[in-house]
Amino acid sequence: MDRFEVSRPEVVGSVVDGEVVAINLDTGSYYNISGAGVDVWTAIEPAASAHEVTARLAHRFGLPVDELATAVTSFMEELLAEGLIRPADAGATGAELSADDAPSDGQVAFSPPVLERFTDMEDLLLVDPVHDVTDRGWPHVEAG
Amino acid sequence: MLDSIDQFGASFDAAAAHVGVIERNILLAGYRIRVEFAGPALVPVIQPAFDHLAEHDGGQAADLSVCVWDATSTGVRPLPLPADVLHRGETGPRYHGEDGGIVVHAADATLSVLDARRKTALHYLPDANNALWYQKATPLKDIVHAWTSWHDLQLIHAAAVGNHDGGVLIAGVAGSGKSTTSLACLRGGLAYAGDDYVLVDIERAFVHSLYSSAKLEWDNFDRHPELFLPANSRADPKALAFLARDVRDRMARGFPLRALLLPTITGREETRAIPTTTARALLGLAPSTMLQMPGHNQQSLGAMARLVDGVPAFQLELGTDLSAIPDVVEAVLADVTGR
Repeated sequence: MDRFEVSRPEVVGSVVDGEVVAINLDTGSYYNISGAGVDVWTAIEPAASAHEVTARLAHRFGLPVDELATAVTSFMEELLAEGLIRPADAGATGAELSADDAPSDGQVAFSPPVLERFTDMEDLLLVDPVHDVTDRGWPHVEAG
Repeated sequence: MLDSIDQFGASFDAAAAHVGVIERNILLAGYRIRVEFAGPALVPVIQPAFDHLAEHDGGQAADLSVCVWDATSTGVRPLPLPADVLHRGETGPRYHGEDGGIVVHAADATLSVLDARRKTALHYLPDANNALWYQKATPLKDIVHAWTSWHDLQLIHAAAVGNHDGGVLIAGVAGSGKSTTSLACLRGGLAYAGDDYVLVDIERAFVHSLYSSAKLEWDNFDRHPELFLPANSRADPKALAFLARDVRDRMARGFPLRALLLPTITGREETRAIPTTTARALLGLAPSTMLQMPGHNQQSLGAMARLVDGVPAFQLELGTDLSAIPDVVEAVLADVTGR
């Protein structure tokens, strides 16, 4: 079963007030995840397959797996395309259900996962100075 | 790596032996920082932005000594730091921490080293006479940023203004109205703790001023001749400015953080502050802070998440009547402090 994990350390993310803020430090894009996307993100944190994530959401929202499978798979593909998640190592453990995943008895309404992407900071990324550093280190005197 | 840092430090000693040492002391976020210059060339590059934090009693032990030199004026070029020291690092090639040593090789050809063993930092640049305008606006930024990892402090990309009730951070991307807001507040009589970068004590939610400089669009600078003194050439892309004599006493060392403001330019006449969510606050604060400085990680984002979780945030919809902005900011401060 293919599992996925958050692309650390280049991707950092934090859950605040029921939403996720994630930043891709390599690309300069940053993201707001809301709706059931927060549950997807939380499930993937310890590495999880699409099947495991779907089962967790079905349990939480009291909905049939079949109803959620397409939304979860499509959202995970979005996260993958943005580089926010990646295939996990073979040894990664799956996401186990916890007390937080108690069935909602209809109290927690499902809202579709939403990924909002911001690119206005990409120009801020510092020029990579590695190109200035040769095997001789830095600083050095140029020949001639 | 530590051998390389020792060798690098020996280059400063050689430069200092050649041209002498000039000391300046500053009090930053309650910590005593002693800056040791090898010769006078770098004093006008580094000192002006810290003038408001100057301490004239240099007799007390320093919490951190920062040794700075350049090759051109001292005639001492350091032995190179090896490529592997400069290349490695979990979150990027510019940053490396191991055994208490942190090396930052910045894209502007400066090299900064923080050495926990000796509570010492080293800062080298090739030529003091060719220091860039923004290096004078935010001197030693890499060292300050690395040094915050020793303390419960974060270097935050935001402006900060306040009054007797406390202060606000003003955060946002370029063009959002951050400088417009802070300048309007300075003009309106509020205290000013920074235009671009400030230090924030996360757990105490306290803003500490870092630089007295401002980096302004030239048209913004030209609109406020009473507030700022020019400090660079018109050929530079932005104005580097320091507070004019008449408003210099408005420079604050810091204040309790009461609110976070995220300005947006609306084109309407009225300025108003609308409460916004914690997630929007973090989106406004964290990316611009983390993407401009190397070495940030999950821990940095977690610290900023804790900060915004405890501080109310507002979307500041900026109107065309700039003179009304300080009243709205003061109303926010009064509101959140219950006055």
